[in-house]
Amino acid sequence: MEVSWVELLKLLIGTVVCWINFVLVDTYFGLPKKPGVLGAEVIGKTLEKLGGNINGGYFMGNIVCSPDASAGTLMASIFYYLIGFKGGLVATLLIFIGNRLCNDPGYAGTFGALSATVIIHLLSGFIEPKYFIGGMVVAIFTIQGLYHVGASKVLGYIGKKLGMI
Amino acid sequence: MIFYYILSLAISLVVGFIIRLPLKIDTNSFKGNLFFPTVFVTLGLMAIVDILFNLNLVFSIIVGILSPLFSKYVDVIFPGVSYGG
Repeated sequence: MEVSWVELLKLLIGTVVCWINFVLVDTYFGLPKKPGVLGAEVIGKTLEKLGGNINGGYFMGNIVCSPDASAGTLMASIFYYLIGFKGGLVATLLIFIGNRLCNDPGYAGTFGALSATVIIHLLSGFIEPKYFIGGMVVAIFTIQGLYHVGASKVLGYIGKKLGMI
Repeated sequence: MIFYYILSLAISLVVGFIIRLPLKIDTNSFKGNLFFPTVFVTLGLMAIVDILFNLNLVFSIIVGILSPLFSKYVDVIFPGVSYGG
């Protein structure tokens, strides 16, 4: 199968847009500030022990334990790909219910899903929604899969820069 | 079609105001307020109705009344858990 440079570029732009969207929304709604559930606290403390940043660790723990803006962005792009803008609105409602089931007030997830839907709608003339699905998978891989200690330091730094810690 | 979305949003905000949903937004609280989650529930339910059936005035009014009621009792339907210290 041939891979065209245009497709790769679109995937890269989708990744960057999704990364910025979910990191900014999650940081703004206070994910690095405190762990929402016990599991997030364990992940944060373990990362601190390994040499990472505790606030970045809380951020990553909260992502694992509840569908925040990261899952919101992914679900919004999938639903937008399937049923268009209406799908993004349905995804927002489902993310809210998922948040509440995971002992989370639900602000980060719902705002993340809605902002992702709006961004995908605005960019849909240039970049098709399928690139945002792939882009979000890559974006979440850079946080949760590549190098945890480094990722926690980056997230802690962003949280401090935005004055949210 | 977008008219019905805006109509039900307006109805839900008016009904929410009448049943005295709090105006202040507290991101740490599990209680609903006038805007959260009312706005998202209204838009989501309208989108579901739009996909499954078709939008009309009756559905807009029903969703506009239901979503602030859901918002009022959201901390009873989905309560937060406290881990006993």
